[in-house]
Amino acid sequence: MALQIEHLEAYRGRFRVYVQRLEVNSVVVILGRNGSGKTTLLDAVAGFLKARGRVVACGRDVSQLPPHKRGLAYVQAVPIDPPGRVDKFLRAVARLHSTEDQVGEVVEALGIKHLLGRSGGLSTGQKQLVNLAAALLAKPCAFLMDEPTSHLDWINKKAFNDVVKKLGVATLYVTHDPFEAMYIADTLCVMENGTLQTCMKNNARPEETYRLAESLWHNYRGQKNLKTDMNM
Amino acid sequence: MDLFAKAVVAASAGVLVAFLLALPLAYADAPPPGLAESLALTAAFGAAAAAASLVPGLSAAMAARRGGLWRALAYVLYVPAVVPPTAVGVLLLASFSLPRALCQGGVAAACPAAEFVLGNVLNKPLGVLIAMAVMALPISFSIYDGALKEERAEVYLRSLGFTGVRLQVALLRSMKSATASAFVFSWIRSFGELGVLLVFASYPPTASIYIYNAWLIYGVGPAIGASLAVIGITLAVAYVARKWLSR
Repeated sequence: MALQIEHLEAYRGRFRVYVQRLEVNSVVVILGRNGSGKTTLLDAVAGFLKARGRVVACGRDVSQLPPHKRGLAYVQAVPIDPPGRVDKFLRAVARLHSTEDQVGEVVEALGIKHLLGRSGGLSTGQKQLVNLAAALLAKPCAFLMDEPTSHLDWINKKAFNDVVKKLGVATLYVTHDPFEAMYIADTLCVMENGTLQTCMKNNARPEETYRLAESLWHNYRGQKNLKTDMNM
Repeated sequence: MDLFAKAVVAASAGVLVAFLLALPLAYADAPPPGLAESLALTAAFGAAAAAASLVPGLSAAMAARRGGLWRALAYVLYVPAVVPPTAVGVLLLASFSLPRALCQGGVAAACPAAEFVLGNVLNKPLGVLIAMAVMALPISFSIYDGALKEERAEVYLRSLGFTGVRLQVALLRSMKSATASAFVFSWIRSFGELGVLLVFASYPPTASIYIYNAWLIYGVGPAIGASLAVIGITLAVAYVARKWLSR
């Protein structure tokens, strides 16, 4: 079990979030409106907000551990600028987790080799991919992702989500976009008023809709091979 | 933009330009000697103080995110921004004068500290640096506080295993705009600092002390000339900084 949450209770001011039980072994999406408690839940799981209950990561109870010892990489809605050059940042993270030998592999998998020498001027989509690469190099039990595509256009949103799906890392993914949720989720949960209302296997796979939208975009732009700004 | 807003902007800007530039020009005279030196000193001390305020400002912003006692402690850094600078100067002077009072009262152990303060702090370069750094702290703190609220860079980097000094360095480098803003605006602030310096460290004379002395010794005209020169420089730096930061 990559990530297990049991009887987790946390407060943001007077607002209460409570999750009785949630298991994350693939991409679990929590879908909810603004203010439903999604970020509060992630903050509590990551250890940035005091919480009661149990958080188990890779079979280890991490409830009492500080965030940097939980083995949960927390990707944010606004990607951070890499501190310094991209390759140096990735190597710095890799050194912390003894994953230096995996830098090349991760960079290849995420298609960001061309960004390694850059230290600024990255687009939001590129920054988010670099953030994801660093998170991968931290060798986490699971990813926590707080609306990681909310600042991306829909093409980059799909590109990012495709990468997340391809990685096959257990991910607790929060979004308020039902279409995105259906696209990426293996399990889909709905959150309202601080509690999970329902969780279900996601059978909807709207790839066709994405493909149709893309072809419309191609025709509109008159381009045959549309590149995302992540590949620029 | 509607007509009302345009009228308010035009009136406010007109009043400021009239009071801070057009009307004083009628009395302006050449600034007294020492302008270049005071500007150079202010630039150097201001830069050192601004640099010194970055790490405490960032640490306080991180502490403020924790809430509770840590937030209360962090907000102590705001105190110099919300109390009269003259009061800050008086309190600094009182604190640094304590060793001398103890020494005179017979506490021999306090005498070396009293000598050090007298020889190196009060009305000395180190005193100017301390005064400017104290006034720079609230600026760095508020800028980093805002940046961390927006980016949550600390949350991300911590979850990747960054802690301690490594985390601070990564944040300073990642939040380049915030770091540059904190440095530049703290530096610009140092040109306007008078109250603390006047009481605590008026020598060597920095820009505001220079203007104050010009007014006392040479009269209104030279003081206006000196003020306009300082205004010109700080406005130019602020404009360039704003352009650069908003790239």
